[in-house]
Amino acid sequence: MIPKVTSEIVSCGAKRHERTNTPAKKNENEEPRVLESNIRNRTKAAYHKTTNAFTEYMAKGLMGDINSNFYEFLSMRPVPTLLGSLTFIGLFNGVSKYFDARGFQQAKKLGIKFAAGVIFYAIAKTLSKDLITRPVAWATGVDIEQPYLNVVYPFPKVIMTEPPKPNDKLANKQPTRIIQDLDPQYQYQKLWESVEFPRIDLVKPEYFDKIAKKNGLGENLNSAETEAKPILKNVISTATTASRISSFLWAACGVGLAASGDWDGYYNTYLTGTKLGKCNVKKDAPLKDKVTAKLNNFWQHTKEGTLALGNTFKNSAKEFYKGAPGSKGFKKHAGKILFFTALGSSIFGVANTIIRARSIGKNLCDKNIIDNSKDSMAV
Amino acid sequence: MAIDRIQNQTAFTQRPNVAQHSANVNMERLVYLPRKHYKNHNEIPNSVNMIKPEPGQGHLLNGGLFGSIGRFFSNRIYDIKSVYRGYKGTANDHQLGRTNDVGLVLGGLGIASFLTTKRIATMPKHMEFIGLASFLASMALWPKIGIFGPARLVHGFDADKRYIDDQGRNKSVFQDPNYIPFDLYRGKKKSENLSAIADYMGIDRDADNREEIVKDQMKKIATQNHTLWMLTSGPAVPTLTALMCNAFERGYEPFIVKQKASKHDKMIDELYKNLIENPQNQKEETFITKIKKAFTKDKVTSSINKFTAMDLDKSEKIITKKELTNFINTVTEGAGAGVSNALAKDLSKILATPDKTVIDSKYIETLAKNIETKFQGHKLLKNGIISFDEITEALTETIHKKLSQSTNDANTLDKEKIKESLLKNRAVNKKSVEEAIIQAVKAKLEKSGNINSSLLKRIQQMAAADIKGTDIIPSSDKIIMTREKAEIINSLTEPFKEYLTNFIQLRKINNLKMGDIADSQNAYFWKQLEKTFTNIVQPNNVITSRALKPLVDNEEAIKIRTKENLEKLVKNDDAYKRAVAAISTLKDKYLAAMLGEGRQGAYTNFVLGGNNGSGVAWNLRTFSSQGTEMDKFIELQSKIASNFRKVNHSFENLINIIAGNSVDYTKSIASLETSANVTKVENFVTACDRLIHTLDIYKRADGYAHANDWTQYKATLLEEAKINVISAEGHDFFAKFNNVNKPDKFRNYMQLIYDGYLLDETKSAMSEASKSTLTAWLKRTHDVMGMAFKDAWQYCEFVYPSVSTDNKVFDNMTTTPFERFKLQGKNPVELLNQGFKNSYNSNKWLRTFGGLFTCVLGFSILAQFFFGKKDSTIPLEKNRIARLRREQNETLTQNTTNESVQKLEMEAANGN
Repeated sequence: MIPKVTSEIVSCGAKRHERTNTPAKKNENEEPRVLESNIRNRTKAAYHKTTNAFTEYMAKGLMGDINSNFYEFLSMRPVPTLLGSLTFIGLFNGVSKYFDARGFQQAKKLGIKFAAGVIFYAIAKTLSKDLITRPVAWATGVDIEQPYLNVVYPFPKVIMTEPPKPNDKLANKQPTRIIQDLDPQYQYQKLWESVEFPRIDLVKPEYFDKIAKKNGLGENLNSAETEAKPILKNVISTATTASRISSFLWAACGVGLAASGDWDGYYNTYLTGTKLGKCNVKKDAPLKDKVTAKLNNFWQHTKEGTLALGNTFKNSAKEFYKGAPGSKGFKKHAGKILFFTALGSSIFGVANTIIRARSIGKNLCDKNIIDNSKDSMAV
Repeated sequence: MAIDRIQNQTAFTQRPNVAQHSANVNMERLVYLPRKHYKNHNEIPNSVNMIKPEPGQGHLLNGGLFGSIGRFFSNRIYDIKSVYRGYKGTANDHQLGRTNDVGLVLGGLGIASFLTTKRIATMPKHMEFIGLASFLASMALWPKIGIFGPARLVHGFDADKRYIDDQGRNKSVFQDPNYIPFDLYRGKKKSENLSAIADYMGIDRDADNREEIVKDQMKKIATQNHTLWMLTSGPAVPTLTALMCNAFERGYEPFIVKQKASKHDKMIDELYKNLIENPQNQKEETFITKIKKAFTKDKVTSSINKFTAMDLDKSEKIITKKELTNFINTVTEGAGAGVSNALAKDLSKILATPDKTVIDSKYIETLAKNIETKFQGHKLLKNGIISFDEITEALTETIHKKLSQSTNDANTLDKEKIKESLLKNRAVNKKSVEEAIIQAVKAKLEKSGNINSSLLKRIQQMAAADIKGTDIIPSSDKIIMTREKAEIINSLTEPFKEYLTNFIQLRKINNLKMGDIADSQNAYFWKQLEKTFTNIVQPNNVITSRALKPLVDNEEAIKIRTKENLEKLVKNDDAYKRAVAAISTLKDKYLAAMLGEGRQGAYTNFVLGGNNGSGVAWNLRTFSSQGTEMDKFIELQSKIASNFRKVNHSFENLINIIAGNSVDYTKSIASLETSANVTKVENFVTACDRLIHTLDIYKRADGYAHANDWTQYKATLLEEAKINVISAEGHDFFAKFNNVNKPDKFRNYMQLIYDGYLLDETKSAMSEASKSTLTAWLKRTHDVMGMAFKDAWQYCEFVYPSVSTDNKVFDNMTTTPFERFKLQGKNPVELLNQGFKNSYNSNKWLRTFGGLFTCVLGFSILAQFFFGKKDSTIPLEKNRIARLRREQNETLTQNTTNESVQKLEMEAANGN
């Protein structure tokens, strides 16, 4: 999987043997490796992707670097999302202060709701994926979130040396090219991201034994990998679809939650920070007292704020589910409908995935996989 | 993954040599084979040697409006299929990618549907969905107009080119820099011709390896543009969405208002037919209405039935106060606080039981506590208070004694059962409670022993006297319902249900036109008036937010600006006429919309009090005979109210509030709803009248300033009027514009300004545009605001309120403060303030959003000129050297030494 540096790739003119100054490559034989599927690695991956998206990948892309690749393009997805959300929040909250007094109040209220909506959208969308992937991983043995660290060796960089001065007759007339090998690039990818090219080569055979066992293929198979592959592909397809569809519905629930409660009240009371600065200490009091008072104040503020956050969340969840007081019909039940649609999509997604995987397992077990009626070359 | 693709690609492109294959085929055998279409190569004899890739089916997609519209729909079908196959487990990577987009749309629809429930008016509800559509559209549109459009102009090729691959999948050519299907650029069209693209880019025709150079260049530019897309769509898409929504909203609002108005007319006609024209004709129930009925819970009937339901073997039922409140709230839902309060009053009267109370454990507890507080420290009870159990015992005894006088039934007389019922719920005579308490106190005192009989007697008397005070016997929080009362409450069901249905329906209909929501017709006309007058006062075509800033929320500044601008305006006759006509037209349009087409005559009669000039004293009953559109509303309102009168007369308060009685009709809901509507019409019309009058005064002042017969005194008055007409409120009239001690001056002022005189220019401009006049309004203002009634002048020495609020002064006409307030319409300065504010806000908004969007667009266009250039890659360098060498050969003589070529090469290497 590691791209070989061939003379074609260094099509920029210099042949490999022409390299004059090649620094020693680090970890020459580093191979892609599977990472443990836990929160630590997931956070690491998200951090790695997001920070690089804003810096290295962005810079490489804008320069049209030869090593800019599809993984980097995909990793840049948080850029428009984050910038867009910030623009959205910033504009609505930033413009409001130029409005007249009443307009300001209205726009500010709306702006805070928008901000809460964006935040809740992101949280709900991220967390809800686990509603699909965890049960599926537990029941079928296929964890579609399973990360691996891919190692890519980029094309070497061609550096032109300073050309000799024209009047220096003794110097070499040609400018010297230095072909410099670059450090390997690490990519946080998922093993089962692709149906067509799942990275089966990276996992141990025991992995497929587990899948085979969980899906009813039995134990001690001659080639668990071959037998379990159809199940794996099926699970990738069904679970990915389910998690994509349901996560957007959960995100909608998140927005609904933000639109329901008194979030602007919470923001105005606890987040604008007016309380924090005010503590009753005399100006000439000793530093120790001042610090203690400040700390106490901060602690009090945090405690109250956390409690209020819980309360606001509770109330907004209540309003979201039961509808605003006095409402009826669709207004009353809209939240409920949205919630149960999201929940239903998750349950259906998980059930669909598990049932299909098991039924394939069962069919394979009965050796009924070849449909003779079909005029097909595929076996 | 990408690497795999590359390997696949290389395998695919390394086609076997055709000639070599044909040489291997046994030609003799082939000759005898019949011509046959083979499904695949397995069927062909000797096929192993004939393996040859079929020609690729993939092709580039070209633009074209129809093609792209068609593709849009086929892509959506593909998306849905992808989700289906995804759930089935047979989707490929491309299809799995599509499921994300479907999820986005589904989630967006969920959000939009939920957010509609948070909006009241129709327009914002629709805007939720329009917003979603705009967002999706901007996501698709931004790369086209901001990134790839300019890139195409600058670099000569479409960096967002799409192609259909062999499996029929729609993909982007340059998405993955490691896998770009350049082989699809077959050169049949100009946009697919690499050579033409190279020409556009200015790559030398004689360059070595020219195709490779252009491919490299295209790849580089496409990568740069794709990154730019990621970088810019963050700020660009939300702003573009907001701008699109804003543009759409402006055009959409009049449409919505019109829709609502026609819906209003249709619905009110239907209700009118059902209630007044053919009340006997039962509507035929359609299948849909039947189903609807079956699924709609009839809340009124079910909750009344539940409330009055009683066990068959019992004559009484005990209800808690909470149950009663819940019942009232459920039944009167949507009818308003007035109705629920009235029902609560009526029910408390109906359900009142003066001589009975309900006893439960809580009641006894309170009783014991009351006794304890009452006798605390009393030396007679120092041996201990009367406990809960003792009171219960005494009550049981008393009740048992009473019951045994009337019945012998052992079951009824069972003491344990009586006790049990007392702890739960039992309706008992208040008298018995008193007796029981005396009994208990007596027993307690007897128990303590050391009391002689005379003392006991005294205690008895004292206790009785004390206990009879109301503060010992608590009032129960439970209510007793009997069968007779239940019947009375049951009788409410049908009339109340009918009332509620019709009332809520009528209110819903009325809200379409007159509701206090942003997109009702009434609100829309106010907005129009605001806009019209703002444009008259501030006629500059471009109202920038900077110019408006000093005018926002600053009435003094507005006053000065208005005065200046109006003085300028009236000097131009055409502009003046246009201004008067604009307001008159709007007024007529409003009247036509509110009262029906061609009903201005009716309006004159009603609003202006007919020919006798009795004025703006609103007489609802007179109005209802005029036959206007609004008349239907009033007639329906009174019909619905009078239908309710058939309810049992115990519901006195309810009848009064819903239908009113002959004494006090005006406080009923029917009357309030009607007069609210009428007031709204009147307010608008008066505001228009006042604006026209304002313009007239400015014109008069302008004309008289140059006239010879105009005295200085009158000129002064007119000059004062200029400010007064644009800013005066009702109280300014009663302060006599600071002329409290000069009643004559005030009288002259009123006569000069409000005597009914109008300029001919004004009249002609008005008559061209409208059928209504100002005369009656002026006369009425003069009479009421100038207090020109009998003996009124003698009171004018004083400032209000002693004069203005004392209606007795005016014998021949009753005016109320509200009417006087209404006569002033809307203060023009206030109107302008609102208008300036709105245009300031929208201007600011547009500038911010538009500004940001323009910046991003400018940035992305500018970026194109830096793309594809900066880094001099080696192939380009080679190419340049070749060109230089050629030029060298052409221009220089044969004597040119190698040195100069080398020099040029070195320059090129330097990046010159």
